[in-house]
Amino acid sequence: MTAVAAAASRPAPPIAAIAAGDFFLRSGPFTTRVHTRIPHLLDGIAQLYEPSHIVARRNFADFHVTVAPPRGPRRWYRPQVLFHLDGVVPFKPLPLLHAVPIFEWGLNWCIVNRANSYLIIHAAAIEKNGFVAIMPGVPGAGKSTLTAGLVNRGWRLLSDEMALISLTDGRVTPLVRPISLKNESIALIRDFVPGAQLSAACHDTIKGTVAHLKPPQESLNRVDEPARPAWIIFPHYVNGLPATLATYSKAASLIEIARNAFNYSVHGARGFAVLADIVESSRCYRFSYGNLDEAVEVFAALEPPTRAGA
Amino acid sequence: MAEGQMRATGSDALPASPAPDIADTVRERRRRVLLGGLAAAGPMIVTLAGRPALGATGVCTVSGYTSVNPSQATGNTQTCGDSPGCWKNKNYQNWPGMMQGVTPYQAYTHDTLLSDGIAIPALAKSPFSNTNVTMGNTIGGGGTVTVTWTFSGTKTTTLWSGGQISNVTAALLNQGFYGPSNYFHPSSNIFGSPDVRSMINSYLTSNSASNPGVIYYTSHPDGNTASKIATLMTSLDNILNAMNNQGELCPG
Amino acid sequence: MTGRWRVASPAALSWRSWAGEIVVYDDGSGDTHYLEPLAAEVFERLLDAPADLDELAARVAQSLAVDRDDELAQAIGAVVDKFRACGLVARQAAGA
Repeated sequence: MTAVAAAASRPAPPIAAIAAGDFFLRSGPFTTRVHTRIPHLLDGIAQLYEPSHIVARRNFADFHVTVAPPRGPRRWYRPQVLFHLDGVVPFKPLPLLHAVPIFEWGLNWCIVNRANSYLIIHAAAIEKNGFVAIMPGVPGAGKSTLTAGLVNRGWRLLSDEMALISLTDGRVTPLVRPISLKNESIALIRDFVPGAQLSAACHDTIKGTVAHLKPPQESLNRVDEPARPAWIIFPHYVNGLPATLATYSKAASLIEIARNAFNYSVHGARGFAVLADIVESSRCYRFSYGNLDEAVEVFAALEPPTRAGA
Repeated sequence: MAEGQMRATGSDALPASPAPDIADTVRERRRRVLLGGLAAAGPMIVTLAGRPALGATGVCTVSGYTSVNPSQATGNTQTCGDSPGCWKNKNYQNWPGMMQGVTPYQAYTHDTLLSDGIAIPALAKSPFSNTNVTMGNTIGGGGTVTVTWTFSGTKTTTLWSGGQISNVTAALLNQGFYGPSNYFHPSSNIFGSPDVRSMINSYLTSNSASNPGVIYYTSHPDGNTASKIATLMTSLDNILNAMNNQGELCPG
Repeated sequence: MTGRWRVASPAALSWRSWAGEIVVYDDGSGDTHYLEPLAAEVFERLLDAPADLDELAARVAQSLAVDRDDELAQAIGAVVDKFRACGLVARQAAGA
């Protein structure tokens, strides 16, 4: 390679890449080409994502995303923003101020709809000592708050919204995206995590007030390390409730984790087998909590399953 | 753990249910059958229906989720999510989050009150008032779910009793549950913002005589009902705009 | 509910069993079913061989060492009805 070619292939510094409004963003196994000139979105991405995952040039992108105001009056009057994927607009517009949430939700949409090489569970996934806790989360169950707390107390973040399960070996592939927090959780995590990197709060979204938390640096650094499931834990947050971990039947856990899988139907018998194997080799629990410190203690005491079976 | 799979042909056909722990299985079943009570109202079987991947085609289709009746789709409306009947009839075991004992919704709060006390709970946070929600927390524990709209604090109706209001509720439940921020589905409603508006307006201005059992907002305690309703509808429009949820509903 | 019952499409099924409960995947319908212990027991006994409700009750009562009484029979009938509704079982043709 000539010196010129070598210089051309070196990735541009992330700040320059973002400022140009046209860059490639890596999140886990996916690469997204992003076009946007919205200043607070550029700032948000620079704040929430790992700089080395933002580059000016890449040979390939899984998704081509544009986030821009619509044409017409809503460009200026009560301005809105649209999310485009490969030239298609899947969402109705949201207010311009909500550009970061629409980008995050839009990226979730991209992955959920395209990534059928994985079995995708609507769940958080965190890892310690090589073992992954998968936490399927009905919205409102408190899994994002719990995840945000735990990954700042010794656990590694693989994902807070989508557990990507390999169909070949059942391991969880890291995605490591910003963690979405809402309403009271925002202040709670700000207190719980000194120096937390939180995006500006967006008010009056469908979920109320929303903000995103940058993942811990170590989680970002280890984005290429998949790991094996060892626990399936269904969380349930209720204010004031003492932390309670209760064994949950494997059969019930299997059907419930399948219910929380976005693309379970796509994979048919294979998906069933993969999930059944994971359930077989995991300890399964329901977990109620009302206090993050207590939750951290309970998780610290989790025992991985023995070789002979969980 | 025992597993089984029947294969139609082939010398590698597996035996049914290899049972290294059959004694445990029998013991556990016997115990559950004797203790559980055979007359229990529990479900015995919980079915997760097979369905195409969420949004596989990239647009909202009838087959995208459940058993929405195709005849409910009109014109170019994209039919998305569950019909009112589907939400009403969702057996508790199929209610989102049943096994975790949670719903996807936060407790109802009044933080989006219109000028005269109409709260549009689903637009704010949740259509559920905690005191009105009962659910079985475990498989086999029965339970029903009721959802209540509250108008002016005193006039209430359950969501399933009035045809129009139940459509509105289904629309809002769908967008709240299936919408972009939860399940990332773009157009998650059967009904559009104009439909919501006209349904609520119609609901507010109708008389109760034609629909026994459903309470309508026919007279305001301070009088001047028509003007009050007009104010409420303006506030509703503001909410639909200010909350920016108008984009979440399907085109009308 | 008279007549003999059989597992409808065994070739399309895969299942796992833990602590007396079963989860079965039906590739024909794409449905996944969780079976509580009694339903799981009925499923397994029908896998052994087709049966009418009387025979089924006898098998279940013997297998679990419980009384074969009206309550059991009624519960088993309800299970078979639900199995029929979700396509797991079907009537066996006469003479089969």
